Amino acid sequence: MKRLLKAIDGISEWSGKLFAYLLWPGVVVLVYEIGARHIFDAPTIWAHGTTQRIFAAYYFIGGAYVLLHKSHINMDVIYSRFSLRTRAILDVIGASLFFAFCGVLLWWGSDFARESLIRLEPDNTPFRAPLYPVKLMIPLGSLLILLQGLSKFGHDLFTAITGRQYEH
Amino acid sequence: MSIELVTLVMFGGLMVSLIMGIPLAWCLGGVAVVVCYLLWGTEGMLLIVFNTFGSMWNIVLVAIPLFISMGILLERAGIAEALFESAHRWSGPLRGGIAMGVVVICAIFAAMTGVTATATLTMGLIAVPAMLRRRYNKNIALGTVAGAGTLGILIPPSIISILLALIGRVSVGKLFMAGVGPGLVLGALFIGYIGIRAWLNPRLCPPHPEKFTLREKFISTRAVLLPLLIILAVLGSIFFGIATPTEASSLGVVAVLIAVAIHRRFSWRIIKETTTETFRITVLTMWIFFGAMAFSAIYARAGGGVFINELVVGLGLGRWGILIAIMLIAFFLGCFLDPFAIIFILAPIGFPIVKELGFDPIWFGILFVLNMQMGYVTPPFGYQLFYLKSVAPPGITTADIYRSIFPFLGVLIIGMAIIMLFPQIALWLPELMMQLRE
Repeated sequence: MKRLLKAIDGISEWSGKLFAYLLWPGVVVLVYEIGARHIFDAPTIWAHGTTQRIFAAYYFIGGAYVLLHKSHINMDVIYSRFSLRTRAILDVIGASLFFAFCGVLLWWGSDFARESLIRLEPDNTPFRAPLYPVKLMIPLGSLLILLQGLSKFGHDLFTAITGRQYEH
Repeated sequence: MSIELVTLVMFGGLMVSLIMGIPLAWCLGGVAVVVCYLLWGTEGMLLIVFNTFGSMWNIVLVAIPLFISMGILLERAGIAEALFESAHRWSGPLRGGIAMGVVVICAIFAAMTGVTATATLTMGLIAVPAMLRRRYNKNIALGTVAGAGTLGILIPPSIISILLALIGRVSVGKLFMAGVGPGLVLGALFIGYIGIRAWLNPRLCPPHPEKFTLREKFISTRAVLLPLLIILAVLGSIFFGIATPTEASSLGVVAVLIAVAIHRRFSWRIIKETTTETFRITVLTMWIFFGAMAFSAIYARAGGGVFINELVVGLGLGRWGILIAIMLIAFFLGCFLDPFAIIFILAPIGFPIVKELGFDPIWFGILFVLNMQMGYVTPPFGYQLFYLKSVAPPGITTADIYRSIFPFLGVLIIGMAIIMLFPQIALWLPELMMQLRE
């Protein structure tokens, strides 16, 4: 069990650390486009599409990392005054909304991506590059965040029942 | 389910889950999924996926990570120190001079970044201790930084303006430019307030005796060159139609990296910190955005827009009454909720109403931003207060910070009233920009 939880944390941490660096290629592509258009008078057809692809992956893969680091913002004016155990109980109840949303993104997102993959759907710009990798990010990112969410749910359940923090 | 019931379930569910401390993204997305299932069963779920795809594929939103990374780099760039030294040299004999200089620095930072954190954190670290050492009154020293720091979301670029422009379906470039006039007015109001207080009570913020020669003063003023370059790269390229806001944000990142290098602060640690911190803030914002888009898509499909419109118009408050009511709701929510949450909940309802009433949506967007500035400072939930507390010198309590903010909140309210009465303050620059492009 401990090893499984550690493995999930590790996947979230490393996928996040890796995808965070996509920021820089995104900057380079956009700056290149401005230069190409204004200095060389030769606008590209691929710069914007590439940027959109880069950041779609950036947002979606990052969900698990942000969940691992407990950074999803909540309103804690009241929440922070409760005891550790009460907070864990609220977290366990609240997890239903998390699982509902991310579950839908995984399940119907898979349909959405599969349909795009089967017909090798291109985007509707002159670039006409494949769109399915972007759509695949929805189920992939949701799967990662759901795994992390399961790990968190386990921790919260432990605390809700025992009143103690689960130690790795 | 009737639309009345849908409204009650969606907004009631949202409020209850928020109070339970559930992260905003799951409150919005989860409630959307539940209501979608109740209304249309599993048939409706693709609507949520479509909307999520639409958000992740949106190129305008790409400006968010880039502006965030600019802010984080600027915190570490050494520009704030140089600007503060210059303000210090020029302001010597003037009562309240350093505080006024801080307002100017906050405005300059606001024109380089899209968030309030950069100016607030750097000025909290540098200017607050410096002012306290020179026997400035605590309330003036803290309030100036917390208050003027909020200019970050009004003066372009601004993350909040990008989100509002997308929700209100107006041009990001125009909404950016509409923030310039009000930003200058507010800056002047802050400086005026400090000046009046200093003039009435000489001991409140005394002048400092250190003397600098004119040469020393001008040399220190070199500090504004790099910020001007960065502002020109971002705002200049948007204003003159050279680049879209997203492209301009990438130029801004490059300009800030150059500034970091010139100040000899470039290191792999800065790059690493910027990379992970930008990732964290962007991703959490985007997941809220996904949830909010699902929420508003489901509510719109259920007929919520028409319902709210009829409900509000039927109140018999008149055009201005309704506008002021929306502002009061936003202000009230601002005391307890994150500004992003308020935007995602209130703006999708507010924009169609004000358009229906014949108000300019750009002007409404700016009023909304001004309102969120207040949200950033109103206790108990105000980010400015948390930021300032996190960097304030020991001995400064949370209560000190809370107390200091009220007069500056008053200035913000006056500023908002002025922009309400004189919409041209906001609208002249976007109009000029469009004329130049024709």
